Amino acid sequence: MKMVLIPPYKPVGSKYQISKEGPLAINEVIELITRWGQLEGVDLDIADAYPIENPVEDRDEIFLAEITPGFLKKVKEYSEMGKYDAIITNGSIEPGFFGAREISRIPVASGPHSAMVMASLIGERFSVLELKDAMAQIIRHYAQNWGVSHKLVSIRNIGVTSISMTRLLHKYKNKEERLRAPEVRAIIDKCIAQCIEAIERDKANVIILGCIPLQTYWEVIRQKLDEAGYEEIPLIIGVSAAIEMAKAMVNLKLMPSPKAYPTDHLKRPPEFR
Amino acid sequence: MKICILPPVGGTFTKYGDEHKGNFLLQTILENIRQKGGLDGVDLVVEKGYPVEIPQLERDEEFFATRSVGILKRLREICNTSRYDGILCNSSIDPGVFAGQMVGNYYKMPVVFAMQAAVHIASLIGERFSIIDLTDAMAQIDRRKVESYGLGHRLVSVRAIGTNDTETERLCHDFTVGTNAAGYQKIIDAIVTQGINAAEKERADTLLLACPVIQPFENEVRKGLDDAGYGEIQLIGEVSAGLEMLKAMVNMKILPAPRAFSGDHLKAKPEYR
Repeated sequence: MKMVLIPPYKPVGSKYQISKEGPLAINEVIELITRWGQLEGVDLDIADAYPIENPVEDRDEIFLAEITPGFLKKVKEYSEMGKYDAIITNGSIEPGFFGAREISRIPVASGPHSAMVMASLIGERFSVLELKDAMAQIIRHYAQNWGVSHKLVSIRNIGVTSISMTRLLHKYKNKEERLRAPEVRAIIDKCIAQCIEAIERDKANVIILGCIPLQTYWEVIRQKLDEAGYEEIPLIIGVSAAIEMAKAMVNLKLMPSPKAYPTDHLKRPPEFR
Repeated sequence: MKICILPPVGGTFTKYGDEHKGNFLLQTILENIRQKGGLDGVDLVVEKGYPVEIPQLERDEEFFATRSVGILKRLREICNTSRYDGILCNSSIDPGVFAGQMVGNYYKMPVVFAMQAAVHIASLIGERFSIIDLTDAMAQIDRRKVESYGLGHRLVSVRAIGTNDTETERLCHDFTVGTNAAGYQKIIDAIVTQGINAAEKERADTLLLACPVIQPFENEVRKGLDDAGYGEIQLIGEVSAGLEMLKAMVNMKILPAPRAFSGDHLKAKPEYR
């Protein structure tokens, strides 16, 4: 099965643009799920994402609106190559979720949506851990659209920007060294504190790690939650869920339903919506 | 990956087919899935269901309550063998679903129930799904179950074809041995008609085939819908969806959340529910 992961954008002109080895955070998450055995039988490429000049630090509705057209161009381009069985997307603020499903000729599975579907299957109350409040609000809007808002008990954030998180990945490429760095340990402590708040105060049964740099800390967050007595709380990462949902759609020969993601070319449009 | 399917019943109730391989209808479903590639890399065993000695024609709440006890008993026995990476319970209407997931948690074994998995796949690919089942009594139970999964707002209808499963199984068997093609076609026509009604009247974008006795018709129903101009409507068989969600859980190393399917042994109990 051949899949392509399309990142939401490619920073150009930024100090923290994609390194020679590719997008660091995505590579680390892929390395993690490869160890889990999730990519057996899957040939996964990482797409050349749409370039964004000097991206701002904010990850809000304006940024989302700005990156969406380029992202959709890439979805169209890759879906028409005839090389892939499915597309994976990993933007935690979901550029072009509905548009991607409308224009793609192959199944598209996105990280946050797939993670919420899995969380809904295995639990009844889930919480998302995100980086910033503006991102959390975007995810709440999406959850309402996806019909799972009543199961999303909270979206908590650690108040750190995506650029800052990426900066740390670049600064400490050695993972062990990174986890020893005080500034990284402070971030991990914030993550654990918010996860525990989600469990204790919001009564979450399942936690989803949102933005891709957060997903790179899955192992240490899992370990610390276990040590704190919360081993009963499953911890889901979006890329992992998206790969599984893409596999499911391919194996079941299913597409996102054209009637749910229609264009003007729908053969049998409903009488009303 | 080694997984097993636990049929709802076994013993003398399995009138047609080999008890050790599952009845011939389940074998047909699995063959269809195999042909689509859904069993690649899967070592699949069909376990014996719990024997039900006195079958009754009605498939109502009383019947499913009785059946739950046997399913849970077999589930514990199978978990105890530690032979599998995951277990799929494939009865329609998911008898014992919440208790079954508690059993899975106790043994640290991913356990998936087919209908619960299928409604989540439907939610992944669409926004309005309809279930096609056999009888009105089953349809009412389907409705209650989907409500309990928190997806009732997406279930736009449950339509019944009005034939009980013993009769449907007999018609399939007669067709297989070449004695009653008309009876077989009647079932397919009934499913297609209800599918079109769901698409037109309830504006469903996705259809689910519920009871295992109608899932072997999936290819014929797909063709019937395509021929009638409903190629855009997605069609999901519950067993195939269940297998995909089970594989996903095994690959992602996640279990049903203990806090969602909890017993008195839960460590991190929420303050209130």
